[in-house]
Amino acid sequence: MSLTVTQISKSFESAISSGPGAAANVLPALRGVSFEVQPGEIVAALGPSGCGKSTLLAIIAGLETPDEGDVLWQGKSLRSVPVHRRGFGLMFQDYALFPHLNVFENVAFGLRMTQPKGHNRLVTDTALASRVAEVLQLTGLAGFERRDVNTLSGGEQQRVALARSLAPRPRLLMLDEPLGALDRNLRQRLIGELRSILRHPGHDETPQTAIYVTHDLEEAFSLADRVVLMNAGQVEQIGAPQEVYCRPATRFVAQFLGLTNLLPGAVYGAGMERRVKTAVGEFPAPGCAATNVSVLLRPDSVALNQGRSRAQTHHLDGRLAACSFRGSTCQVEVVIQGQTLGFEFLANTSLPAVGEEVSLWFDPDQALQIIQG
Amino acid sequence: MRRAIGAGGRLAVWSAPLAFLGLFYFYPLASILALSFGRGERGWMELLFETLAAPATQRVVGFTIWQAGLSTLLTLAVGLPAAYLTARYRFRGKALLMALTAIPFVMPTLVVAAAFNALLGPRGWLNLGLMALLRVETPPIEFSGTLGAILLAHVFYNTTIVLRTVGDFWSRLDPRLEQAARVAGADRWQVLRRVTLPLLSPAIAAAALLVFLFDFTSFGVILILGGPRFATLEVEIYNQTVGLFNLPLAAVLSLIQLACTLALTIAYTRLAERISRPLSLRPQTYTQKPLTTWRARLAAGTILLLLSGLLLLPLAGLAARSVIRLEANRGESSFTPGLTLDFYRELTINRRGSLFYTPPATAIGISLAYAAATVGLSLSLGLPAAWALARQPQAALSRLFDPLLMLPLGTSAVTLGLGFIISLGRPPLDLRASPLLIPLAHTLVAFPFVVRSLTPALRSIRPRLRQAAAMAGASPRQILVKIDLPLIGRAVFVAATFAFTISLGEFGATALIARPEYPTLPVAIYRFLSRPGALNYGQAMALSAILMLVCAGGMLAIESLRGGQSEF
Repeated sequence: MSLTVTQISKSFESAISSGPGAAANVLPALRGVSFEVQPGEIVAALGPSGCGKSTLLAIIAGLETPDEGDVLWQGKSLRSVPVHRRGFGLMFQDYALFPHLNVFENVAFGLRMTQPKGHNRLVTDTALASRVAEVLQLTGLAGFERRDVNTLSGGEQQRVALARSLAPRPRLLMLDEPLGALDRNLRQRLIGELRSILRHPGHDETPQTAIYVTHDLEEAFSLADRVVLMNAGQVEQIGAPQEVYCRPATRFVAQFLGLTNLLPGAVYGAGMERRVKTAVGEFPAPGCAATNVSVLLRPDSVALNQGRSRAQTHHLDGRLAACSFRGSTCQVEVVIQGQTLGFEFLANTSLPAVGEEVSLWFDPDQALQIIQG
Repeated sequence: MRRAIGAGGRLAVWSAPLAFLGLFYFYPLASILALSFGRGERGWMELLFETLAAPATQRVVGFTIWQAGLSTLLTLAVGLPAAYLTARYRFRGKALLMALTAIPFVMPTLVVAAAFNALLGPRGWLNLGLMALLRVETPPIEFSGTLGAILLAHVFYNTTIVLRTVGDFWSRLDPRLEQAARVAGADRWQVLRRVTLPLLSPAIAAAALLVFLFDFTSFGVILILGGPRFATLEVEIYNQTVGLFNLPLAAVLSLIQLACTLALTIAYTRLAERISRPLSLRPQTYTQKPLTTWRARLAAGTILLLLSGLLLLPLAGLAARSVIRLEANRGESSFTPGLTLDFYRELTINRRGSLFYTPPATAIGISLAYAAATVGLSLSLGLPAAWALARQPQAALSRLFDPLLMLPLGTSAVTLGLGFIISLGRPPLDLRASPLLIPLAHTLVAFPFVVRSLTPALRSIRPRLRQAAAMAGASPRQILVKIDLPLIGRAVFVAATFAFTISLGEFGATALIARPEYPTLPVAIYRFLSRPGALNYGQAMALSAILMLVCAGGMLAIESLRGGQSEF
């Protein structure tokens, strides 16, 4: 069981200028988006708001049709399969709970609908009631059956929405910013719960295949097996969270990950002798094909003079401009040759006073990364 | 927030609508009922029981309910698909369609009967065509004097009520609820049955109640299109009052009609409390999409075809009659059938030197002035009433007054008109000379529409929004102005549209109380229709066409007013 999205493109006509006489204002929402979801895998679609994540979900769900490209399930196109026959689940951003049904009926809704062929078919009332009880138990809502959904708190509504989308055992569950509306503490707790619910959606069941849409880095990294990073309707990078964090493919990805020490660089020389020249110095760039690049200096891979190791062979001199305590770490700003760069040290590192000179030592293989564009 | 205004405040909100109903509804009604029963030889209770026990009465009541129920179902069957089309899709000419569909609502019964006869009657276009086609001597379609004619006319009149009240609500229903059901495995039919219709039910119930009451008290349609075979309560009241001058019996029948209305309205109020829920309504720009798929286009085409056949064809036939000469004028020995503008030209000439001659421009002016006054009056009375109803659905005052607001709709126009004449034409309240008398009577009819259009929208505003405003320091009055009114802006325009069209088309009460030198358009049309001859008939058609234009123009003006404002 796997989902394949191939070369999806979609544009919308702007509603405001669609009146007679106005030129059609076409807004591209997605451009050539492709990725795969393996069975039992959680893939996070990550990107800033307006990057096309929700449109992508709507297309996979069948609520929107793509202008180009296709959505395949186990290699077969879903183009002619209507929404309700796809056997997918979608948890909406603000839940879209049915206000005229109580908690039980909201969760039972999908079970009462006719299921696609070859799918678990729940006919009897007892089977239905026991499945609803099971997902309510799973989502921590046991005892909420008769409650009016309009009286629930945000966290409770979120759980009902999750229970409703899980109940029919969807082949693929899509979650659209499911924790967006909740407070930070609740969110942190629910991330953990959500992962365990998706991993173990009931006894002797296989892990849930899921697409998780979010703009929150922490959510995506802690929940997903793989991340699809999107910007302005296009895929910037696909990979495991660690891989993406350690090797951002583009300038956008680096910035989105909070890696802001990006210095424009010019590459010169030949083959293994190639070097990159930046405002703060020159570094080796063996085998780099491009000429104009960004050099990323990772904020957590530098050391102060005293604590440096043998591998840290390069250093930069600058002035400590600011220092702020963040619990386990200290964030510092260092001005080097007129450029302000940010770094992170363990909280117990002894730092010079603000305004004094510092020397930052690093290993170019660890701390430097050359990014296209 | 329910505690935000005390009992005193609630009473203050209610006072204006109540004073209005007391003075212009209950006082005239009580006066005419007292007068009627005063004439009888027996006590009114005795007469009531005797009348109720009579099989003839039971037959009339039974038929009244039967035809109203059937008409309501048919109207919903036509109106709901049309409401869906206008609510969920953007397409060219929608504003025009909305304006055109409102026209039937304002057409005087006499004109509608003439329009249907011109189309489907024994000498109508359709029968003439079929007779020529099938080479038969008798008209193949029997229309006049059938139940079908009554039902068709009721659907023609009231589809716009469903289209507007349900369509407006539908257009702001969050499409994600339907999408959630689709993803959960529901097909289109299941989504409709299990999600959309239950969520729409408050608006559908409100529209159905209005349509039912209109059909229940229907008078002109039954009398003219139905013919003598059919009698509703309203027709019987008219016969007893005007024909037989049996005022006590007419009063008893009026009471029965009122009791039915009251029972129905109370049942509706209980139902509405149970089925209305807080919904997050969305702006139309979010819920509407263009017609792109062939399936949507086909459905839209079918609905539009049905609407135009049912609503626009009779109107077009009528407009055609105003520019086509089919018979000779009186005093003419020969004539040529064909296109003519004579009927319009004649309107501006006072040939017989009549004292009460009114140029068409003056009649338009009078009608528009009355309509504007009715819009102002009914909105300023209806807003506080709807607000109070929506905010405190459980409060004792609301439970009591909600059904009372609907009573004027279910009251015999004949009874009420006579009540106006005897009670408001003498001290202490002599309004005979007041230009406000007619807008007041129109407001009585428009008021329930205004309240019914506003209440569902007000009820569906999430309490959290009001709470948020209150937390930000807004007073109850500021919440009304800053939160409630902007959120229900669309419903206010729907209400205004109803008030405008009701006033423009009202004929029954206006005919009784209008001063002869200030006729409205329907009254002027009636004058031409009541005179014999092809010229007068043609002029009535011409003036009807003008009424249609005024109505469509007014609706487009109201729509464009709304268009300038942001909706949310």
